[in-house]
Order: sequence, then C-alpha cells, then structure tokens
Amino acid sequence: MVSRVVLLSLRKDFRNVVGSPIAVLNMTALNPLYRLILPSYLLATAFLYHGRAVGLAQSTGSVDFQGFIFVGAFMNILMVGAIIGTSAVIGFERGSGTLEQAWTTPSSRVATAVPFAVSALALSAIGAFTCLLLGVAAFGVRLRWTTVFAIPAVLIGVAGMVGVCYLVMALLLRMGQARAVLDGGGFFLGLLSGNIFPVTVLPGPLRVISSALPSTYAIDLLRHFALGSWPLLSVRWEYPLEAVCSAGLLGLGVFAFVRAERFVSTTGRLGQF
Amino acid sequence: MGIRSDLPLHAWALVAAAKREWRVARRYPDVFIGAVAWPVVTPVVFVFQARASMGHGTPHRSGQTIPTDSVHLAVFLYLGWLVASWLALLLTESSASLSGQRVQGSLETTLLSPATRLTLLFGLAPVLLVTGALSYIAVLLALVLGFGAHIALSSALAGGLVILLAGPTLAAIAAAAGTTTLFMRRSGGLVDIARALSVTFCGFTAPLAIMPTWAAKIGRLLPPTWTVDTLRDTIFGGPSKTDWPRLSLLLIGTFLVISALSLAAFAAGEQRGRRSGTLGGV
Repeated sequence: MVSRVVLLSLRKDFRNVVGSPIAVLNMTALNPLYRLILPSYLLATAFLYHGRAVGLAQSTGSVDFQGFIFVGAFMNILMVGAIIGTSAVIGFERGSGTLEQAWTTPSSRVATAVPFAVSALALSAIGAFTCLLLGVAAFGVRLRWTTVFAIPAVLIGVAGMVGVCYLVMALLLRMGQARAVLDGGGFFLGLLSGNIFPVTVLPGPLRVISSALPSTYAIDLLRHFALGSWPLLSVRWEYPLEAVCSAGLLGLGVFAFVRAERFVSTTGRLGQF
Repeated sequence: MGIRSDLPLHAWALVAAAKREWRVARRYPDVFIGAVAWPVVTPVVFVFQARASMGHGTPHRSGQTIPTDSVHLAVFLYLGWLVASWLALLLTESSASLSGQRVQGSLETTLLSPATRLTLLFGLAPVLLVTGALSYIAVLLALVLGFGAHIALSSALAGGLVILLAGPTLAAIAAAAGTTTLFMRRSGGLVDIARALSVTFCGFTAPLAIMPTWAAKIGRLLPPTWTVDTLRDTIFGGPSKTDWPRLSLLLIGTFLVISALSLAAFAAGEQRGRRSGTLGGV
C-alpha cells in the first residue's frame, strides 16, 4: 500500500517537473554550480603548485582537487536538495490545497509523508548526478572503479537524509514557512559535513558536531573510494558509525515529525501557512 | 512630454517609487537580515577550503597570487564574496521585482502612467544600496572580531566610498538583467547565468592572475571586478592605493551607458508587449 502511494506520488511530482525542467535543473544543479562549485574550483586553482594540488594532498592524501570538490558537491546537492525539495513539495501541496487530502489516506502519518521525502530525494539525485556528469565532462573529474564500494555509504547517507526530510516537514508543519531556517540549515549541514574541504580543518566544537552527521562519513567514504583520499577512521569502523548516525537522525526526524503532526492535528493548522 | 522639461517630475516619480519599495522592504525585513547574515557566514567554507588547500607550508603558487597568512586570506575571501553576494542580491531582486509586478497585475497599470521607466528599473535600487552598506559593515565587523584583522578607520571609510560609487553601476547591471522579464516569461534562468558568469570571471574567490589570459581579459572589463579589486586594494593598502578619479570616471560612465541601454531595452520590450498583448502575461 505504502509503496503504491509512494510510486503514484513520485509520478505526480515528476509530471510537475517535466512541466518546468529548466527551473528544476536550475535549482538542483546550476545553483550549486555557481554558488559552491565554481568559486571553490577557482580558489583551489589558486593553490596549485606546478598544476598539482600539493597542499590538498598534504591535508587529504589526494591531489585530485577537481574530484574532491565535485564528489563533495554531489553529496551536498543531495543534502540541500532533500531540504529544499521537501520544502518545495510540501509548499506545493499546501498552496494547491491538497495537503489535507493527502493526510486523509488510510496509511499511517509517517508513511503518508514518505512520498514527500522520496520525491525530494529523487529530484535532488537528478541534480547531483547532473553535476557529477558535468564534472567528468568539463572539469576533468576522474573517478576510480572502486567508487562502487562507496555506494552503500551513499545509500546509508541517503537514509539519514530521509530523517532530515522528516525534520524539515516537522518544522514546516509547526512554522508554516521557514525559508531562512531551511537555507541556513542546508548551508551548515554542508559546512559541517566537509562539502568542499576535509573536516579535519574544522575547529574542535564544530568537529564534534560534524562527527555525529552521517553525511560526513558518506562524503569521506565516497572520496576515499573514488579518489583514494585518506579516510577519517578505518573503513571497517566508519561504515557502522555512519549507519548508527543515520539511524539516529532518521529516528530523530520521525520523532519530531510525529510530535509536529500531533500539534497540527490538535490545533487544526495543517493547511495553514 | 520632453524628458528635459519634465525632469523634476521624473525625479519626483523616482523618489516616490523608491519610497514605495522602501516601505515594502521594511514590511519584509528578511532581505536585510539575509544581507547581513549570508556575506558573513558563507565565506567560512572558502576559508576552510583555503586552509586545507595550503597544506603544511609547501611552496605553492598562492604566494604570488593570493594572500597566504590566515587573516589576509580571510579578508581577501570575505571582500570578494561580499561583492558576489551583493551582486547576486541585486540581480535576483531586480528581476523578481518586475516579475512580481507582472504576476500581481500592477505592471500594466504602472505602464499606463507617463512617468519615466526609470521608476521600474531603479525604484528598488536605494533599498539594495542600503543592503550593500549593511553587508559591508557586517563583513568588516566579522573580519575584525572573528579573524582579528586590523583595518584602519581610513581604509574602512574608503572601502565604504567604493561601495557607494559601485552601487549605482551594479544596480544598473541588475536593472539591465531585469528588463529581460519583458522579453521572457521567466527570466530567472538568465539571471542565474549572469550570476555564474560573474562568479567565473570577476575574481571573487581567486585572483584573475590564475585564470587563462582570455578569461582574465574578460574579467578586467567587468565593473564587479573593478569593485572587488579596488575594495581589496583599499582595505589592504589604505585609501592612497586607489586612483579615485579614474575609478569614479569608470564607474559613473559605465552606470550612464548601462542605464541608457536598459532604458532602450525596456522601451523595446514595452512596445513589443503592447503590440503582442503579452505585457501582463505570466
């Protein structure tokens, strides 16, 4: 039942996307390109020594600065896309007055919200892969074949992102509109996960928060397998740690969502914004 | 109605439009909050990236082109991103302002008025100039309090003068981008392309010296590049490092040229919209 609801909802959201493909491509792929990737690419170029990222190699074990940036941006787009996408999907449902109808399906509330999270993640995945392909085609990004070993890390990270989607939904249900908070949240999630730099350069307190985020390990493992950079911990420990953090984030998200849903149900504010 | 004989009336209309936009902006202060917060917060990622890219003291090219000590590096990156985020705000808001009027249906009504079209192109400019000034003050405070940068008062004031001089020119660029709203149903994509080009060519996060010669040549022709270069020179080296008459002449001249072109483009777009009946179409 839930999977059918998810598929139908996904189909509906993709129909909306087909109606405005440039806007979606802009939001998911071009926006990160000029806000994050291009400036950081140019900055990294300023530190090249005879065409090699010697400084980066000392910090990470890899001279592949293009790969370092694009791989981090890949996960960053998934993270920020999950936040902005969930907000956009909920906003669309609210704006068109169909959010309350979606709530009347016989499945549980947590399951009802699954399609919103899946749609947001699917849309951001399109942007993330588009950006990575652009990196390979135009910026000289070369990924090793061992990248396939990082697929579980990405999937575990995505499971954690579902938790983030639930947190976003909880926030939107309570606050109605929370654009500034969401923009800030997406930015800090990327910063604390080491989107364009190794988290080893973060100051102590930020490093502690960073080590509790599954996205930190997802990016680190992806860089390790795709580029040969040094992992933060032994891979044998990093995978279980990422899974624990992901499960924690998912649990936190679901908990916050259930509380927020109860709040809007008792106050009758579901469709208000 | 001649433009010369009605100059006071046009000026009055422009002031009225600016007042209206100011009232609207005060009602939604998030634009001011964003103008203070984002230029302070965003460059942190580039500062961290630069630290990682420097490694542990190996000789690298950055010594010739980009500051290597952490305070100067932070000043370099923060000032670059200040201009980048301000230009982005100008481009986005100018375009959104016209699109918003179109969606609300007030654009056609406004165009019935004989007032100069400068009211539509530059009505929002004073609000955006205030946001630029706020961003500049916030960035200076962040550099002094957060990074321990020593910025002389004379340098800070001269930097403020650079912002003041560059503001109208950058607003004119944004107005030119805004006129595309009359030609396209959604001009957001074009604005994004303009942002991407400015980030690529204007040296916000890296000096032009690292770019290919052709890209550096393009960059040197663009007003945001002059702004960011002058701002960095002024803050690093004091007011005497800047050739003020040349900078003023360049910026004011560019402002006049781009404004005239924007007005001409707006007139063409308006005429086209009237003929095809698509002026208020969304």
